[in-house]
Amino acid sequence: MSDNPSSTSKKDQIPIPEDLRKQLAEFQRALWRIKITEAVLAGIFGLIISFLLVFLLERFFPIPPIFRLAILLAGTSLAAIFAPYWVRHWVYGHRREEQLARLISQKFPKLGDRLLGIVELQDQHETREALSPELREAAMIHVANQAAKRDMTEALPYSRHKKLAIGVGAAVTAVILGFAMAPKAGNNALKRWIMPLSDTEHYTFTQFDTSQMPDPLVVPLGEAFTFSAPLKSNSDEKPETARARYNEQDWVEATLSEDNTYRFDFTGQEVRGKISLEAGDASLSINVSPNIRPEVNSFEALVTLPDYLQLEPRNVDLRTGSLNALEGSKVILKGSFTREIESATAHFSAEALEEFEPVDAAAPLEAETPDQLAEAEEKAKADEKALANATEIPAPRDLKLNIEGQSVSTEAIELGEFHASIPFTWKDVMGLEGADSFKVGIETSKDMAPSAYIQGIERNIIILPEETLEFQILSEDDFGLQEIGIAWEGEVTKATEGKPANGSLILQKGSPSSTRLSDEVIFSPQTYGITPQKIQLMAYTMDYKIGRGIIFSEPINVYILTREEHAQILKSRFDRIISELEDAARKELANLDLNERLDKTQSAEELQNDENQQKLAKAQEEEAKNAEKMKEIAKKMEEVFKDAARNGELDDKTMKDMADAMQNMKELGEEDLPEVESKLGEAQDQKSTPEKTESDLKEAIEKQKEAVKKMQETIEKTNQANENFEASTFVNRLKKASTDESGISTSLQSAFRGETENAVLPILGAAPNSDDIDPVHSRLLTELSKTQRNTTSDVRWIQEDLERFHARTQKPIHKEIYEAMSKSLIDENLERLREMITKNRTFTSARLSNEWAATLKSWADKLEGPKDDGGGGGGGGGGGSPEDEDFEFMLKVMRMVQAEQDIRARTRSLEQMLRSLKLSKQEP
Amino acid sequence: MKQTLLTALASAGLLMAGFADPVKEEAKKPTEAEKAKALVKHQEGSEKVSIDQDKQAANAQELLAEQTNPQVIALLNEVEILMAQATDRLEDADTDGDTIAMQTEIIEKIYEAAKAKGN
Repeated sequence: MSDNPSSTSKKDQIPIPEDLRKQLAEFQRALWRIKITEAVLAGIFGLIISFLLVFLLERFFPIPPIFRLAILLAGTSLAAIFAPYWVRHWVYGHRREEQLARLISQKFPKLGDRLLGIVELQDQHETREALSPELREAAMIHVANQAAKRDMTEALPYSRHKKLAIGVGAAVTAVILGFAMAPKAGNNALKRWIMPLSDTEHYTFTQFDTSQMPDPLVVPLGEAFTFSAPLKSNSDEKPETARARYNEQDWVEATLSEDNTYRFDFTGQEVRGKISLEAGDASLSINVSPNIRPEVNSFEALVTLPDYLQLEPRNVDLRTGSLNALEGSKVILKGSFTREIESATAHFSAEALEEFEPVDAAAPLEAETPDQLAEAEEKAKADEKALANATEIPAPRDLKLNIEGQSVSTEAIELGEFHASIPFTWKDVMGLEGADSFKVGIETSKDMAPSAYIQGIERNIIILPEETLEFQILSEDDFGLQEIGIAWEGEVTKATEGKPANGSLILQKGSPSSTRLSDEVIFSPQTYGITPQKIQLMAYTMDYKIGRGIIFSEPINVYILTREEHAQILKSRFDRIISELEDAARKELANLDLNERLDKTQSAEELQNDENQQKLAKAQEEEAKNAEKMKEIAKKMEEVFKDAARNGELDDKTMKDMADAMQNMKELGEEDLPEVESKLGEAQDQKSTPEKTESDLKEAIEKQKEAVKKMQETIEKTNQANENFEASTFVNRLKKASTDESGISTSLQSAFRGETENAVLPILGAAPNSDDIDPVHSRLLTELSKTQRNTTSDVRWIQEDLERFHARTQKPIHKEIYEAMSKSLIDENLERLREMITKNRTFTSARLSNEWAATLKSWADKLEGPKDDGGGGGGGGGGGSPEDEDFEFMLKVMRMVQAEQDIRARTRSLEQMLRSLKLSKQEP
Repeated sequence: MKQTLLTALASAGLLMAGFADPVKEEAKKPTEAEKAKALVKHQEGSEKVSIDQDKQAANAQELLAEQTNPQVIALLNEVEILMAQATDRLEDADTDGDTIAMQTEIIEKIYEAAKAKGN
């Protein structure tokens, strides 16, 4: 025990008695035990108390990590700082006997001092001569005896270890109770106490499911919103109500719904803030960010049209939400939004079309030959199959979407025979949904048939073969046109040598994107070898739709006439003009009578009264009307004159009469009658004196008389011209009848020579209406019989007209021809000939019709007289006045100009044909 | 009156004229056989027109023979020459824009001759 270093040898020391030593050692052990126990208990107590502090405080609020760290440090400091200090003080500080003696002296001062004395004596160093070892020993024994009588444990310092033990026991009990009552809270508190800086979530009895509560919460700007606060399914407490508030606004309460969620309804917010949420012991704060909802920037559709159209895909703007697309197209809808999109939906639903029509039901004239018809039927069947497939309405489904940033696009949608509706919804990356869904309505349409028109020409037109028609054709389609052109189909209405014309001409090649094609057409029958007949002229067009075929326009009827037929038409037009002219003259005369009556019955003063002024106004109005009528007649006359010049069958004198009459008509309409009208107007001048009014009226009457006279002269001229015209038309009519008869003869001769197209059986000997006769011949006989009836009728009319014409003109030539016709009994004979044709007396009929053709021709020649080698030559009526010579010159010039215009038009027509032939060989 | 009538007559003829539109050159190449066939058909038509054009030249010659006015004679001479050239071109199946332009010139010159005669 004594470790005091000393230079004194051990044998010089006198140890304290053994009993005392033992007693001190026991004291020391007791001291150490108690104080170490105290140190340990204090450390434990500190730790438990700091834990309990966290446990208890966190039941009211979450302790911030820094404070939890402070509590932990404070708790552990008892064990880490106090205990070592305590142990050092009591254990290390009381390891020697004199230290113990001093401690004992605190309770037992005398004993303690003595003990301290003998401890010091024990270590005393002196020489033998100065000290008495025996005395020292005796002193030690004495002190030892006194110490032995005392209970050293009473000298131990005040001990807290029992209280500490009780405290530790109580704290442990509290901890155990806490864990027993709220094990999750205990565990949570333990974790948060041991690891104060960890992110261990604070435990509450009421637990919100924060995983389903976005933070920050983005809400639509200025719009009322609902905030949902769900509880965790394992929440220990589920309070009936909870409350929340936005910033410092009023609290809003919500009850717990069946799905363990509180729903708080907030009014619209415009500034950033926080929602404070409380339920039971749980409280939460959520950041809120009001923001504008994501909107549609643009919407478009990428439409890929069916392959046959050969068109590039096209983008269609869909801001209106409506798309009209062709059946068979593929559509991709693409939307662009104001913010990055997180999710979107597009629900496709289709509905059947209201009206259902078979494809191409209305397409006209798809086939031209039996082979094409068969092909068309096959195609129609294929179309029906395709149609059946196409009409299946697809089931509603959600479309697959591709989301890239702010853009959303759908999968390709194949369009069939249905309409579709696709509402879109979207949510941005902030969790905001679009204000409204964007609905795309798709209406499918069919590829419409192209249309073709002819314009710039009348629907019925009469021309000579060498004349040229100029007009425009126009075609339109919804997608693209392959080509446009014209086609014609002839119809021979009577037996002639000519054949029905049939042909077509490509005028322009189109392209998949040509939706409109037009071209000028120059069509001359002579260029295409078309003889006089009726033809139907049509524009045609083709689009790219497979199996649609050719589409034709409404036809125009072109009557290509012989010169004789043309002359007859001109004659009837001339008759109408004369009739209108006579009517105008009658009206003018009636107006003159009224004006004269007014002049004679009324004085100069009376002419200025209202009643007479009204009469003058009426007369002026009538004059204006008649002037307009006269202009109109002059215009018609000019047309007839031009056509007559082109026809070339009229003699120069007739043409001269027509030209004079036309000039008179023009002067009447443009000068004479307007002058009368003007004078009648002056007679109504309010500023005029009665004498001036009377003078104006008289002047008007004088001019009107001159005009009436001129009109009568014009009528005489036109009548004269008409007589000549009529005379020349007898020639034409006879020639036409001759040509008809000749045509009948030619057709019959071809038939019995076996040259009739498509006829198999011989015509000779075949009884009509029997099985012996070939159907082709049967049809031919019917047609020839019809032609013969018409010719007979024409000839009968010629005969009657000749008789009347002679009665009027007393020209001997007409009498001669009329008598020849009567004598020949031509009308009866021609009727008999018709019966023979009907009975299939082919050979005889052919011979007779040929004979009658010759007879009719001879009469025409006789009427026509010797020719002057017409054409541009002339000079037939030569030797006339210089005025006549000038007229003849001008007439020749006019004919020459007309002829040159025809030649130029035919040249153009040929050039167009050449280009068309080149076009038709182009690769599609 | 005479002057008016003559001018009216000449105008009546000319009013019918439509001036030639430029020919659109947009043809592509057909096959050789088809081209030959097309040319034959075109040539036949062109020959017919050339015959009529030649008749016109004869008429012009006849009209020329009756004239005494030097201006009219000069114009009709030009008409006759142009007609002969047009006939040659048509015989060669040349129906292109130059031939049509030539025919237009013929019409203009006939009209000029008519005016010269009236003066």
